[in-house]
Amino acid sequence: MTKIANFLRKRIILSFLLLTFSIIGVGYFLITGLSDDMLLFVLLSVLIFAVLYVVFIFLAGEKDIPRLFTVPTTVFLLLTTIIPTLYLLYISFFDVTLYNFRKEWPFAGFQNFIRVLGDQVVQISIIRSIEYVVFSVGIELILGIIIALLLDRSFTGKRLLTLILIFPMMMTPIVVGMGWKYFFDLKNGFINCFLENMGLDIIPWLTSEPLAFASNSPFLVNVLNFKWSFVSMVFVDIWQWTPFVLIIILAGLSTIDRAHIEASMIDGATYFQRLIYIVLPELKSIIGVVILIRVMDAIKAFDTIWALYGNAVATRTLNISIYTFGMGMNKFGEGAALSLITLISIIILSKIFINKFFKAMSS
Amino acid sequence: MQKRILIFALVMGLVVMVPLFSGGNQEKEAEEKPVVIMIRTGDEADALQAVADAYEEATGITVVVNEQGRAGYFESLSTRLLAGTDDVDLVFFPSTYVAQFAEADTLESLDKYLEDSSITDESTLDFDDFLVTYSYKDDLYAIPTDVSAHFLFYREDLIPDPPQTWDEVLEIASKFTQKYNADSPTVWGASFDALAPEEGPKIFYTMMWSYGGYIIDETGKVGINSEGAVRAMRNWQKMISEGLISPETNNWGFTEVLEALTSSSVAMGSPFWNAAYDPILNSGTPQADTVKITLAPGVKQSDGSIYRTPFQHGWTLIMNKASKNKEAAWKFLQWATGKEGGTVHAKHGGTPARKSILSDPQFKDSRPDFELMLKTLEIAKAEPQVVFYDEMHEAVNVAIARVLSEGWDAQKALDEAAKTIQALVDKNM
Amino acid sequence: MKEKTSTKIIIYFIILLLAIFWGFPVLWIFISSFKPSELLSLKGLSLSFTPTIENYLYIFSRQPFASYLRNSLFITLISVILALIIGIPAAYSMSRFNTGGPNYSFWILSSRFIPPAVIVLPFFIIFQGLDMFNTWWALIIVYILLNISYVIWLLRSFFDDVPKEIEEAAIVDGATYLQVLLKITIPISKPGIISVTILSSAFVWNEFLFATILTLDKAAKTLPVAANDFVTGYAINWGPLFASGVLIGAPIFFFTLFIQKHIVRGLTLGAIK
Repeated sequence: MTKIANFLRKRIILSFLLLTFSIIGVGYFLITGLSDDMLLFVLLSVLIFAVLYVVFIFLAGEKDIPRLFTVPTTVFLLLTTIIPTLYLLYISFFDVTLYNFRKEWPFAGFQNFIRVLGDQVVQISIIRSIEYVVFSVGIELILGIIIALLLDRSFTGKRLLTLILIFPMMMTPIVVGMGWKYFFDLKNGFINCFLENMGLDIIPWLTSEPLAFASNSPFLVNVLNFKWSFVSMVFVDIWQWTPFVLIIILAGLSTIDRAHIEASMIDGATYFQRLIYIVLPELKSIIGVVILIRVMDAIKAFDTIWALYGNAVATRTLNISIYTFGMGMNKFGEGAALSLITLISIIILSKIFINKFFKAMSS
Repeated sequence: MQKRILIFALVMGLVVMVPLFSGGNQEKEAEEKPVVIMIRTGDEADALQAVADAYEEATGITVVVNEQGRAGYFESLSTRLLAGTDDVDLVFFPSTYVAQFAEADTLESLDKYLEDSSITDESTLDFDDFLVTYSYKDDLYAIPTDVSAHFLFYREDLIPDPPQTWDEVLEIASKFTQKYNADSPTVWGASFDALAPEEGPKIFYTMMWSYGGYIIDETGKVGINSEGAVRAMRNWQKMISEGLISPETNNWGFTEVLEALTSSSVAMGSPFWNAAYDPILNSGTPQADTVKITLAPGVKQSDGSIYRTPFQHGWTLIMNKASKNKEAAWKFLQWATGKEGGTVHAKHGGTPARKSILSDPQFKDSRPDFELMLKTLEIAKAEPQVVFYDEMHEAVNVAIARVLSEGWDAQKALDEAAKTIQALVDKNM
Repeated sequence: MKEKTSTKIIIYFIILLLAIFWGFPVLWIFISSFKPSELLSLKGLSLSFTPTIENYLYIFSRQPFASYLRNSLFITLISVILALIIGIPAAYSMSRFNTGGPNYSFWILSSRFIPPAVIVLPFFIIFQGLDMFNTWWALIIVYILLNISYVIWLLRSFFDDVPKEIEEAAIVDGATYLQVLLKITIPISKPGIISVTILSSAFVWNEFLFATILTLDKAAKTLPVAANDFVTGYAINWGPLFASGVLIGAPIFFFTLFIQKHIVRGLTLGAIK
């Protein structure tokens, strides 16, 4: 008996999990006997988990605390990501659409994957997504860093300006999208009115008119998206999210040790030298995180594009394509296949990026 | 230290417990459960609410109208029916979806209620009065509350003789496009709502059918790339390339065309939905008096007659198969689509698919569009009822986008669409 | 060190441009919410109109706004707090001890890769089976999932920047890791934690896709879904839509205003250090 106790005491996480889930298991049979309410059961399980967790934190030795700290996250993510992913994996091998969803699912092997990758509209939307991410995150990053550097000083109205800058990213994306749809209106939107008053040509923001210099090349316009509708999409994203980059970098700038900078100034370093050799390297980890987060979000950008263009074929990104397959056309098998492909590609690409990044960090 | 942990645990417990007793699924037991209807926000919802109120007054039974925003309406409709939720009993449903949702086993077949005289009042329902109803494999699934079709809208003050054919439309349009006629009071001569994804194909069909094109014929052959279809597409392409319609046409939905007509930006809605007429009449703009409607244009035949094929579809109420309140739901359904409900609906701007209401003299002055609707429905065409409707629709959508936004050749784009649709037909029919 | 006046002028000019670029559209939406509907459909720039609150009244007469507000408030509050409670210890552990190594942190990050469009259906079916459809908890769980990677990654890099010496000194003095976390790391990283809180709250408050699919009526509907209801089948009701936007954005606006004092304090404290 004491052998088991010692064994468990040594592996505290294991014992914690075992205890929790056995209590939950017992509770399940109790609850389903008493009432039908699954919601109650879920909440009680969470409560049991929380109470036991606190107890274990209190009891655990210092050695185990680090791992114990990560247990809630792990359990939560396991439950909420693995289950849907397994479901997706399963469904992607079957030819499932709306009308046979409740019946026998015919096995389809890899057909969904092949069909989905071979679809020209999907291929173009992949290219479009990549361009969207590159342009919006790239421009947001550059603008964000420049502005953060500018604002990293005290000046009158700094608080007001910060407030103004924060607000766009706090606004509901749907409202932002609709607002810009309003502003971009061809004849009456205030941007075009402004341009007209200045004597310039009005811009067909929301149409697929090619950009002036690309109008002779269908390839540039259709595949590489040199058209106004794309410009507008990217513009709105930049408008909404540059402040995000800005704030994080500003916060990062504020934690830089001033002593470093002052020492270098005594040594005669110019502003740009200070920038490149001291400031930017110190910000490296923050910039890396910001890029990561923005890229992840840009790939999934949905609300604003949807508000501006809905499901229009000419402006579809990968995320909207997946949505169209899954919910617009109710082609669940293919939608699942496409999302798995997307998921795996992103995982591979980001692994590469992160490995490079960590290597650079440690050097 | 201990106290802190205790407080912490207490707070956690509270955080978990509090919402348990406030938000969330409310009690489901009530003696007479109200009938819940899901509908998208807008005029239809307002009209349905009026019908629901009238029903409650007449019978004392509560009907709850649950409005959902337009963006995402079709998607949440799908998810709900598919997941078998019992939170909604009736759904405001496009007629073109009947086949696939019926096949998916999510719709309740209505025949058995229809035949049960204890719950069906034949006098108010008068089934034969309906101009269209929607069945799949011989089972009735959907009864329309509204029918929609394409009319030609035109400015009588500018165009005393409305165009009868598409060629005439082009001719007249150039007279009223500022690009060609600087004195034109309107910016563009023609307009229509080609908004992706819902609207574009429907406009296309009205043109395509009149040129002899077809989607799928009885033998299962796909005709979306037939000569007639290509001609229609090229016609459309001409309208855009010559600037006779707004360059934003692909982004124009119902409202945009409506506004264009009332603000005098365009001289014609060629074609445009019947449902726009009532709002224009009541718009309070000078155009309320000058915009008139007539049959959609067509193609002149060798014998001199004009072959017109305006598009038609219905908005219906279907019964959720997972509903736990079916009998009460049926009672409301038959009342709402029946003579009484239909009249209330018509008074609030709806267009019921009932011959008696459309020809009812009490609406002669307030709803002049009813007379035209009757005439239009005699020649109107609808899309085929197929289980792969969404995919077929998407294929045509892609073809349109390719031709209009990406400059593809019409034949090539339609060939691609035909290939896709033929594959679907072969698989399913 | 003195700055040249010309530099100062340029900087102020740029600041003005920034303020206009980001402030004007927001201001315009705010102003537009007070325009009568007919004027709005013209989409012009006109400033000559008599301000009216008809759009706001319309919202209140058409929607159970109080319920939607309640739902949004509680869902945001609970999901952000829970995300922080779950995430802070994990971020601390990963920052100080590199728990789980690169694989673990990568796995956490990957929860963010999932395109929302496709997990909507599996989640819907699961929640439907668990009787949680149209409840706060379904959304809370989804939002914790969507936020947790973000919370952990950002906090981790903020924790990384906290100098270890202070913590090590405390440990030598006999403090437990829990105490270090609560009494040293968190207070020092306050600006970071506050930024993360604000951003996560804003994200949840404004989320649309899951909210629209997982809710049905005032029991659990949130504000963005309610705003979208004004994009009707036939018309976009600009007036109430913008008014909704203002109403939805106002709490965040005031929240930020209030919290901003702390952000600024945190930032300046950092500079002085």
